[in-house]
Amino acid sequence: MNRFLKKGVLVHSFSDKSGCVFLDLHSGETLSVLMSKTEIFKVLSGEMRFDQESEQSIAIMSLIQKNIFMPLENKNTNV
Amino acid sequence: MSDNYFIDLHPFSFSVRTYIPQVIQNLSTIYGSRFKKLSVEVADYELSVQKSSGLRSFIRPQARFFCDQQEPFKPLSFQKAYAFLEWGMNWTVAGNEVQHVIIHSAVLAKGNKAILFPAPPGSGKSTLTAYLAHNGWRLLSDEMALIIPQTKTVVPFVRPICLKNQSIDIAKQLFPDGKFSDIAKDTHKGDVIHLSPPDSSWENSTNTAELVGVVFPNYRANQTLQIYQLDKTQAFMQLVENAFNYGVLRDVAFSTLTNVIENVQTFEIFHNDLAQVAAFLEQEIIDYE
Repeated sequence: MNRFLKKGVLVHSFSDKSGCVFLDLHSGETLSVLMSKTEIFKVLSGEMRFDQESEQSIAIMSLIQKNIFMPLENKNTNV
Repeated sequence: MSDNYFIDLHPFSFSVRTYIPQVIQNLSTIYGSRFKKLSVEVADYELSVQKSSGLRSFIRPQARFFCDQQEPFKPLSFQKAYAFLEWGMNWTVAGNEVQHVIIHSAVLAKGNKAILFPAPPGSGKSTLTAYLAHNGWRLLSDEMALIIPQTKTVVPFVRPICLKNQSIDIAKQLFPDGKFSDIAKDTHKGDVIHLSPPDSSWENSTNTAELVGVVFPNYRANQTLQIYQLDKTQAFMQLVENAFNYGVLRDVAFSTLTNVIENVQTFEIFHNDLAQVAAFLEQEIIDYE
């Protein structure tokens, strides 16, 4: 997987499998995605693919744009 | 000359400095023995409602609201002074309280089981609240749910029910013995009246209840009861939109509300019959477990 969950982001995947919610503790913003946490990580790792126009792809793109998932090269491995 | 009064509510108390007879009379009607002259009590919040001074007080008198000596709002017309105080009390708690996660929502309970009714103005929330409170349910709040962090326990904050426009006539017909305030006319919400909750709600105003449901009500004059089960992600996001102090409590509010949503039933309803709604709530949520 070429992305990682930014530090300071809380995630909750609901038990009815309706989706996942993210709270960015820095910005205070809360986002929801109608996919389970497992599905999101599968998409980010390339294990699962959706059409680029699909709601799922758009939702994951929005998480990336909001810096919920950061590029792996941004990870400070010395810390 | 202003006098100091004390409103002894759970879990917050207020001191109110005023000399406006309309305010004093309405507070006495609505809060009964919980409203008294301040003697040695120390209130959580110091409020004041005063008539504007100067030439304006003769031409077009206005009421001014103060909280802890700050004036957060522009004055309103004098005739709205009591409603102004009630809204000011809501604002004071919503803006200062951080020991609970606060949701803009009515809360009613049967026994120890409570349901949240978050809803925007015009949804018929307060009419439903008034109906349930006078038909065997216990009112915990018409305006704000106080949830203890990391639990699904709701702390009562019993206050009057704020009814608007057409709901005023409906409520006066349904509850002829109800204790109503004067009508505040032409507010930003239209005509507004406050209705004191029944004695049973006041008597249980220190008893917490456990959440078992979250229901988003919508009154539609031409629609029979329609019930939609909300998925948990939708319900959570709607609850966040209605949370007053979510931005302040952040992780505490997030974990509290996810925990609540995981452990309750969640519905959106459309209706034009209060009795049908009450039957649904009892059969499908309260008696479900």
